[in-house]
Amino acid sequence: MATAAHPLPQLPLWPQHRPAHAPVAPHYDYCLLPYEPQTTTPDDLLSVNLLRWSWEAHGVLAEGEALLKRLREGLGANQVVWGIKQRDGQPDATSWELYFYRRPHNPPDFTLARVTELFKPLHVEGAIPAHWAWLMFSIELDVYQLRGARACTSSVYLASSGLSYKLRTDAPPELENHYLFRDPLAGIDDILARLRVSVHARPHPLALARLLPPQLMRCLHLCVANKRQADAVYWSRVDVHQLEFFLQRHAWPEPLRAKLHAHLPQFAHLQWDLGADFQSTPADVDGPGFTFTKSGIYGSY
Amino acid sequence: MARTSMRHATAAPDPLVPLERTMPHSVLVAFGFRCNLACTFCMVEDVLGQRPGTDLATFRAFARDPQHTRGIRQIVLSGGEATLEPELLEYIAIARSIPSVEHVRIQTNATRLGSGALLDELIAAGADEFFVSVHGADEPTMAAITQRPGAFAAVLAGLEAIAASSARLYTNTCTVQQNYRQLTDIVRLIAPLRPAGMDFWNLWPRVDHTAMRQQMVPVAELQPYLLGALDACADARIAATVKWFPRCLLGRHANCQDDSQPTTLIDRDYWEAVPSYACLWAGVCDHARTGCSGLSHAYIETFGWEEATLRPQRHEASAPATTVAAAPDGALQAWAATLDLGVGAALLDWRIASVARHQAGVRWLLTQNQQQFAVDVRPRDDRQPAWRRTAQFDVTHGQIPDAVRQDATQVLPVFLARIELATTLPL
Ligand SMILES: C[S@@+](CC[C@H](N)C(=O)[O-])C[C@H]1O[C@@H](n2cnc3c(N)ncnc32)[C@H](O)[C@@H]1O
Repeated sequence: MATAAHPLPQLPLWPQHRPAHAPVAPHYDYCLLPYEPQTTTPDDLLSVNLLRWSWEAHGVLAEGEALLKRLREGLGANQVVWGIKQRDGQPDATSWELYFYRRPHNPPDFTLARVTELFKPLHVEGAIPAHWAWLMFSIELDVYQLRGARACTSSVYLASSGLSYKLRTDAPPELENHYLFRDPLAGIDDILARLRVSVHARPHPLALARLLPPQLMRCLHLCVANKRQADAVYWSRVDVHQLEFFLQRHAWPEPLRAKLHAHLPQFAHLQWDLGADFQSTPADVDGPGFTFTKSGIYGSY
Repeated sequence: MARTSMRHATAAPDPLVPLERTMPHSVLVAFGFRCNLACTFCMVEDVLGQRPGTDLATFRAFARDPQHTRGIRQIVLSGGEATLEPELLEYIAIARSIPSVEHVRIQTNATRLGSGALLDELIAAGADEFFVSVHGADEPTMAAITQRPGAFAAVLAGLEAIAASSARLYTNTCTVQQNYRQLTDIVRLIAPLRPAGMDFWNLWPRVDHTAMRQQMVPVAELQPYLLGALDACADARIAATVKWFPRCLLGRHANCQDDSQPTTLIDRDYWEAVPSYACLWAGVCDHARTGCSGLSHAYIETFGWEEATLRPQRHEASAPATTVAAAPDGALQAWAATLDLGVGAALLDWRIASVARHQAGVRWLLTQNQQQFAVDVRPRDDRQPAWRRTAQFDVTHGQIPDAVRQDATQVLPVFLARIELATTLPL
């Protein structure tokens, strides 16, 4: 009998189903805003396959897929934004987050409470009072949370404010992040103004070039976020080559990069969203004075 | 032999012929990738001895196709070192067979042209412009760059022979660490030969894209020497051209900067390694719109974005919001500007033509090539129809002209993402 070419069975990938002769449906970015896919091929793949590969690598594929299934059945298609976050330099330190936006294509009665129901048997902490003007909420997941060993934490993002808060069951909400989104061309002055006052970077000729690498300037929006222990830059709607560049730049686990690379043309119709946290390293007195601590990639399902 | 952007025909019969012309009047034909010098920064170093370039048959077929040759006034022959190629005369003849061609230029190091015999043959065949690389003002510099002792004397002899001939002399100096302090000396050396033009191409890092060789010069360091050379050219009434150096740093010589390159016939895989360029201010600087490429990625990774050195030439529309604040609806305009939705702001290929109060909300007019459509934003009211609802607002848009429907559907999500950053309308 012939031996298998691959010692482990390969994960069957989820295709981007397209009904023949129908116009191509919009795809959604990490703000859950629609875009037209660039080019399409018959064997295009869904972006969520990256999330599945990441779950598979951490032994939580079944748990993750079961959760996606409950969300899809309960909310419908294109309601979930997913993120994979990787601690720089620590291939095993991976976590995930799911984001839910208030959008015109939401099902009726779209609330954190409803999503919390769909998460069961996983337990989600936090609630959003009805009078808050929220734009979105998110639920964090790590291996233990996906396995139900620990409650999942949630955050809320307020409309038109750029502010996000961690939600607590027995305590008041805690300010988490402040985001500023700008067009990378017309809005560059605001982005620079925000980065210049970052307490996590020092004035240095290479500081901006590290924070805003030229390879990623072709994006829909740049975003600067001020967080509790770091600042961050986000890039929205980059192409699959920029995604590869980013994963290499932040030394993401080789198996995931290799799988992405093997299927590159099948992911080329998608636009991707990226983010990287940076934190000051006071000891770096000659350099830009920061290191990247965490990076994330985002898609929707 | 560079380009800033070029697409290639995927199904074109001839793999070397680009789909789009970067320059309408000029075509560069690269062939015979051999060279008798070994410049340390050569942009085709990896191709030398490895690729055939455009062979005679390909060039002939190109020249015979009126579709390809329409409007071409200049053919530039380059390599390698084209003067090493016995077939060069045939290339010149083919170039001259194109009815519209006025000039046939040879890019050369001129080391083989000093004796005069080959030069005469080339001129007799139809070459009338020689574009000669002069990378140093003395033998040690030239020897260090070309890695061939004696190159300086050989190049000078070639330059003098061309100057004495009926052909026009042009020079090019690639500005790098080894020679940037000599730029004015190079102009002084060449000026007595009455060149028709002198080019200064700042290092285009196609081969050394990680800048390992440390040949790039920080722009602030290069600037005074480059300006000195441009002053010297102006004094000697020599037309000067600068490539791949930020235009905003050229002061009164800004009009010398031109990053364009001829449409190029070269092996397709050559393009895979072309350097990319960028500028932080590409969206707000007039120079970026009119062809200034900015800095190479290799440069930015090595020296940074040069945000303290570059001086973007801001166009009016993106001037600070204070320019519109004086208008009667100043508060509205200033508010729109904070969202990047002020008058003149760019959204993809669209611009905001006006922002005004309209019924219970605000109306934006978006324009592109004399087409326009309106986008209305009102406080959210779930009982009213809307094209999109954000947490705070209802967004609708007016009739979209058919010609721009596709483009308009792209721009609307961009608009939506920006308006989402607002809390209330300033009504
Ligand atoms: C590749 S050379 C070939 C022609 C000829 N062998 C010569 O030396 O001029 C074409 C032109 O590109 C210029 N050049 C070569 N490498 C360059 C680089 N990396 N950056 C900017 N200019 C370069 C040369 O000075 C020359 O004018």
